[in-house]
Amino acid sequence: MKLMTLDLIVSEEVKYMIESGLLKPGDKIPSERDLSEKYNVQRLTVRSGLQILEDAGVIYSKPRSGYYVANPPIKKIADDIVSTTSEIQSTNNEFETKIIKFTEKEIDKYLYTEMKLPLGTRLYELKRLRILNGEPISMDYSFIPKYVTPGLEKFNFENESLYAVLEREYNVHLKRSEQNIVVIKAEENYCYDLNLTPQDYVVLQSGIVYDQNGQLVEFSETYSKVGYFEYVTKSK
Amino acid sequence: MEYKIPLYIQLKQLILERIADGEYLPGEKIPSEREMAATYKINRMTVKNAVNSLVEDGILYKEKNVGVFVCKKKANRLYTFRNKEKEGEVESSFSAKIQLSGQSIESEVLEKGMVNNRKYVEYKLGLDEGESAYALHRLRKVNRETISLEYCYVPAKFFPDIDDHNFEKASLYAYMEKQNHLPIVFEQKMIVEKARRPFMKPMGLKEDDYVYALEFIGKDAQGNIVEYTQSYLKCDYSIYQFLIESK
Repeated sequence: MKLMTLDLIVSEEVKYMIESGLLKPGDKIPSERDLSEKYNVQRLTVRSGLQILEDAGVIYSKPRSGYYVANPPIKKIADDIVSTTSEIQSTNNEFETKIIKFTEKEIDKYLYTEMKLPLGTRLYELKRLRILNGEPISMDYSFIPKYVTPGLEKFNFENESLYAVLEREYNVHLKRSEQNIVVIKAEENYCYDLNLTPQDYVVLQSGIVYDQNGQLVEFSETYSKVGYFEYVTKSK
Repeated sequence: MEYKIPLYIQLKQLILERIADGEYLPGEKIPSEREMAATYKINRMTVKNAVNSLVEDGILYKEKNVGVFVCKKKANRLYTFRNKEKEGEVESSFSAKIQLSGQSIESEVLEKGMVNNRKYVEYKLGLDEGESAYALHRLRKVNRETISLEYCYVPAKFFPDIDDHNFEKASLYAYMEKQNHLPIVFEQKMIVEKARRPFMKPMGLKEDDYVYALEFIGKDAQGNIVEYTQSYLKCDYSIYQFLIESK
């Protein structure tokens, strides 16, 4: 059975041009005719190969103009504890965080199953919408026990990274984290802010971060649009 | 106020880790409540709470007068794909990790052979223009269910007789180790994507299904790039997990 079909091969050759830097974000992809001549394949094959890249968000099409290189996904470091805010800020994108909710609440049954702290423990709930180049790309929920960070309400998390505040103001050193990634159908409490409907899928990254004493510092749930974040690790 | 993690929660974590590591296998009996109380020097009530909690969570089950066992996985359970970094743990690709957790991985080879002049493969393997790579395209199955589709490429120059081997039976890494080019250091990227047409049939996926698209590069002890693999794992019924220790 042929797994590596010609259109996949063409899509990879174009991907090579993009990943190696021959084509940069915003550059126009060579025309169908040029590509079919270069790789000695039919134009239909090229079209199919480019469609694969468009579906994956690697390129986008401008009507009557052709295909262009899309911005690469934001890299999330998956083998170190890094704040999302700083990861997005370090790219060449326009980035904004909007606070949707910042309140105190008590552990309820759902949070208890995730955080395993006693029912009634007071928490901060921070709900942030991440906006990249004007487009909302993820909704981040962070739950932090109040006893870890009393007075957290005085900080402005539209301008600051939560992790930076934890380290700087509360001397919390983030030591260990467990993060789980699943794909689910979008839910009501965030999908419309992301310009999605409940028929669309999102990537849910949920996890717990512990400090150097093994104390739970944060439980988070990030719902992001498919294709915007890439998880990267480099083992030593 | 000082807050310590309650002992029964710590014990729960410990048991869960042992299960994840494959020390306690599905269907196996775990140490008795009395044994655990003695080993960890904690109250039997504490052990009971931890165990009961895991029974409630569906991880353990009790057989009267016999003991406590790890639940055997159900047919449509969750697969956990993991990229794990723990002190002292030997680094390996995720497929080796699934194996470590006590389940067996089977492979079905769909295509194999030499490839030339594929710029993307040359680029990923650090090959010179025109240098050959050996391609191995496989389905990976756990308990006879297809969980991933892999396109694996290795530099032909390090493995001159690779085509003589049958990697449905033999382990690719065992062969690579014999040639002194076992990958021991990995760089990995993972992104969620819509399943592409060529994957759908072999993986039993539908139009709107998603996959975890993984790409990893493996280097051997000398720093040579010896492996470039694209792996597509079903998102359905599975979790991709990262366990992270900060540097």
